[in-house]
Amino acid sequence: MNVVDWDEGLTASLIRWIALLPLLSALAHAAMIGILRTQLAPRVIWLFSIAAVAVSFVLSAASIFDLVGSEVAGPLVDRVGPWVGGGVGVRNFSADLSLRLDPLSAVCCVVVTSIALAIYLYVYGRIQNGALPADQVHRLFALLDLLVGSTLVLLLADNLLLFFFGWTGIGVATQLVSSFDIESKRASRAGATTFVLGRVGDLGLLAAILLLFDGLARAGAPTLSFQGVELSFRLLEGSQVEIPLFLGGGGFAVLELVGGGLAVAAMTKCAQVPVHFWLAGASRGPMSATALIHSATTVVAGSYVLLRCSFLLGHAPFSMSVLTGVGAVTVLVAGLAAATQLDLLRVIAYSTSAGLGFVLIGIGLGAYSTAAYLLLCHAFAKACWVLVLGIVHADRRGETDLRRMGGLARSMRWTHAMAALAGLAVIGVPPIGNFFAFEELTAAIVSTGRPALLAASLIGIAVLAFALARAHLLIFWGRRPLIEEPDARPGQDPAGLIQYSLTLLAIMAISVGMLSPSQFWGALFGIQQMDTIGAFLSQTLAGAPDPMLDGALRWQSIGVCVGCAFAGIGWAVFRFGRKGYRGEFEQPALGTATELLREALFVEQAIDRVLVRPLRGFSRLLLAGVVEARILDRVVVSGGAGVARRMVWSGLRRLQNGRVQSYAMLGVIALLLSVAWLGHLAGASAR
Amino acid sequence: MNFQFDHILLVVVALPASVALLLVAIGLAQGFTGLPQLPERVWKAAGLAVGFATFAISLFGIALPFDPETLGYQFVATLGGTLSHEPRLLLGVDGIGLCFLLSTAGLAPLAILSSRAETEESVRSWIFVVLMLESSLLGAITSLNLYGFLFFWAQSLLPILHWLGRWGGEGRARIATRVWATESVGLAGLLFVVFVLSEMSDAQLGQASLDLVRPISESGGTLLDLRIGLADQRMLFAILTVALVTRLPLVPLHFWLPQAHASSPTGLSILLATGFVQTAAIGLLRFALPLFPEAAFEARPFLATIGIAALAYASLVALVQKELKRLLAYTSVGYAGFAMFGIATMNDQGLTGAVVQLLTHGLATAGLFMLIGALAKRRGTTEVVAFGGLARPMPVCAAFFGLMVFSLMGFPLLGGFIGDLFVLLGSLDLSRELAIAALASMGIAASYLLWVQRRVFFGPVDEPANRGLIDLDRIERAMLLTVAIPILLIGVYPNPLLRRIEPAVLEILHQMGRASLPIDTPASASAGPSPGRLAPGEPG
Repeated sequence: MNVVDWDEGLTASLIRWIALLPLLSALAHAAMIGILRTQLAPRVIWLFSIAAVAVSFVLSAASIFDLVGSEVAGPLVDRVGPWVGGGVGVRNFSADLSLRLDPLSAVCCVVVTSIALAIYLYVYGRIQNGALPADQVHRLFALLDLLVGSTLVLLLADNLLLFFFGWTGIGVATQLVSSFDIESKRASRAGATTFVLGRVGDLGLLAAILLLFDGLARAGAPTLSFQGVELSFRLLEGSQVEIPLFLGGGGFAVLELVGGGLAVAAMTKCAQVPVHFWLAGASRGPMSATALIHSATTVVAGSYVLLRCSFLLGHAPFSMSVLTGVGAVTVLVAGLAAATQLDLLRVIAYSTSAGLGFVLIGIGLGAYSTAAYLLLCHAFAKACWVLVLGIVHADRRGETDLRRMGGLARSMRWTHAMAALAGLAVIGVPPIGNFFAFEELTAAIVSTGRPALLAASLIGIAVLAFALARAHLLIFWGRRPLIEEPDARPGQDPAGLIQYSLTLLAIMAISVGMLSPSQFWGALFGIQQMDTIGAFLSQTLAGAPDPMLDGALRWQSIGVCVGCAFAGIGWAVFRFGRKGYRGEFEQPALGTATELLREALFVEQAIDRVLVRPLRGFSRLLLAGVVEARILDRVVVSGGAGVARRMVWSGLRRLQNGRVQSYAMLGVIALLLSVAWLGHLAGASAR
Repeated sequence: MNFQFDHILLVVVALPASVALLLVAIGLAQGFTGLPQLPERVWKAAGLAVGFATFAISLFGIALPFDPETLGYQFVATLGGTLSHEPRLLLGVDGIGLCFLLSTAGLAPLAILSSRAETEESVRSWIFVVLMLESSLLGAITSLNLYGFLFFWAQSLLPILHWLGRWGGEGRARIATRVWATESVGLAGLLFVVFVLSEMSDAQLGQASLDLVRPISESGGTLLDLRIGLADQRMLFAILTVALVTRLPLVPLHFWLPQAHASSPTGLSILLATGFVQTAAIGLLRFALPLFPEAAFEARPFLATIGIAALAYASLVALVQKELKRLLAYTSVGYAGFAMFGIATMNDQGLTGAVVQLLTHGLATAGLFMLIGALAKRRGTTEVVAFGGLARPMPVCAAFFGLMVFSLMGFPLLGGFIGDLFVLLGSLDLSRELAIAALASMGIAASYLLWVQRRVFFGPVDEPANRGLIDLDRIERAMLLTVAIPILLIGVYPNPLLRRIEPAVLEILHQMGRASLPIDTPASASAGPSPGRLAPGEPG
């Protein structure tokens, strides 16, 4: 059996529907909202959307079995037809509308659609509780469908152009989610921040794509498909882009620039330092959409762009080390920011940034299958955790201040247990959730022998554990909230669909942890080769599947890893377990440090002060004020036109009265015509 | 060359103007005989009918039978002088002309429909202006003769001046004068080039022909057969380009556009932002590049740099504008710079991108002007401060605004992206550094467009006057859909459009390709660098 057979087979032509169904559903919702102005019952809307996602899920799950069963490790390609083409010869730019299913995209598709299914169930539970106004339901499902559909396009794209389409679709949907509450000023500002930073990432990715294409075209092999790029990108080795002399001269390797563009794109979507701050604002949308953004769509896109191009990253060592560094810094900064927040949504946002920092460390080290696996574990665990906190958020009527919560464990037993489970999965407490992935990442770092990086990531694990445990304890433990509400009421556990969906997510989070890539179980039971998810993914990822450590070293690294997680939890229990939140630090130095960490080093404010305001001031004062209004308007125009104005306008003004004026224009036309004609004849008669 | 002879283009170009003139003649006759004037609704119905008929004819008579495989011009038609040295009209379309023809013919009825309250009192004059403008724009877009181009170019200026001068609002005299002053520079430049070229062709070809192509029934050379020395090429190219970019408009000759837009009614803004600007691009692509190829090639880095600088500059200025129409005008200025950048690449992808960009940018800007007109009609102002949170009372308006703005920013699945993509692809061939600079400028452009969208449509509804606003009515929605549908179609599946533009672009490049052939000037080289001074006896 070979690729061609698959091309013509029935299975391959089904791939398009995986991505198309949610998108069509989003389009149908948009048409109903915008053009037809129909208001359907929430149940119908929900059925429509969940049916689309369910079919996508079934198709992608089925396709995994096809891939596992197939002898040849080639991708399944579904070519819909030619799409965009232009240019001749060697610069011919042509992209087909074709989708490709390989182990990496298949696994990611299953993850995305299954998480989306669980979240859709959760949303319907919320609708049944009457928590969502009917007019918002439609818009919410349109956005969720758009998020899921664009992510699936991104995952399945066979060429860079389609990939970019999916990428920007995610960006738009994320922006719309973050400004979902259109009447809130805060939400609209958050949407703008999300959008502008997303745009930076877009342009980084577009620059990478264009440079790659241009380089290949110059080398005589213009192509956009991933397979073609993978085959021919080595032609770019050694080619350089000149830096203009006034910028210092010299040159950049093209592949390094491409890697840099991809890194910028990944950093913005994964909310890494220094562009981490958008995620905190973007989390103010509906909790279900936030859960999707934090787990399976937006942040997955950021890492996926690197995984997809992993074959190329090895040739961009500088970008790789930047990724590692950024990941390490983010793990620490965002972790500490999450550990000091007083706002629930900001805890969620910064902990996501920190969690993705680990993924980027893995990618930067070249441990791609580890990073991919960590990404999958993160997706399930995070989705579950965010949704549980969403229950609390809804139960407290939109309250996000951790100081106003506390003691909820007594009235919300089920929620408390589920939050603990999901939180432990995110932290990576054995044997659930992220543990295997963190263990594997530690092994990868140890095997590269970089102590500083190892220290950073271990501290990062401890800080992340502390942050999550702190949030959990402040919400659920303690006797009563620090700031007591006058009309405080006990919490209420959810029932029905919400419970089912969260249980489903928890089961998935735990079971995906067991699919360890590290041959963890194999090593335990003395089996050398095991068919793990890492081995499966590494068919499409560059590099070796699993770095292995020797027995003793391995147990040491596991021990340190688990030790760090428990140290963080223990410290949180020690500080907050009994008494809950105890107010701010009284020492000014510690207070300042807390403030600094809470605002994640004030990067957003710094960018506003250093970049945005000066630019606006420059435009207002110099460009609009001086160049436009003074130089162009007064000097050029008034000087040049002053004479003409007096002459021409005084003539024209006489025509200003009555209807005559319309017809006078005919005369002017005739005049101009004859002038031109005369000129032409003069030219002719010069013969 | 093989031409398909047909007079359908003459019909398309002449129909609006002749109906407008007919209506005026009826009005005059009634005035003289003392009969009552035709009612205004007859004018309006006639204007709309003519607008739609013109569009229908150009769609079914020209766009559908248009053969994308053919290089060169199709539907070539002549009017006037049977001898080629007599002034006459020579019309024809290639893929580029077809795009601009369709968009102008399609938008003109929308311009009539979007007449604002202030035009209601003078419907007759308004219909007359729009129809005359449409005819002249269509003529300039389809002219294959420099003389005809000049004629229509000049003619298209008059309706606009007329309108600005009469109903331009505050400071209209000043603004109309300003537009006139700038445009007269362009007109003078064009006239000069026409004089010089006709003298050259008289000297070299034996007849003062200004035709770009020659119908097979006639003999003799065309403008493209002229041999122009490099020094002359430089001078003529510079003059012609400056003349044309006054209308594009390229920084620093752009100052008239924001003022003109700020004081025009919606309908006029629509045509100003599309057909009026596109005639300048037609002039550059059809005449400036093929006639003076060596000079054009030399000017590539210069023009490209100006284009990028214009995009960055206009984006920065737009960042601090406080009035919607002026802001949008600076968008047009910025993207005119981007289109110039695409033209300056002078390769197939860059030129294709520039054409697509001009087309989709025109459509999106037209849509935005319609939306701003709708807002102005409801609120009586276009200051950004007056709005906020409009997505609540006017969701459909907000959705269309978002669509148009996203298309301007070059978001995938919308038309704007295709243009941006191809311009960038073309520019990589010219210079990778400039391409990266262009990307950075696009980032700034995104930020101010987003700022205005957010400021107008999101956030709390602060002004009580905004709370009860009524969303777009059925006609407004239909008008916006007619603009939105092509934007979406081009964005989703651009191949049919690209397939028609590309042969035209290749033909232009082929005409420019003369540059690579040695210019056989053994006889004239000794006579001096200027072929204009050649003896009349030169072989033609």
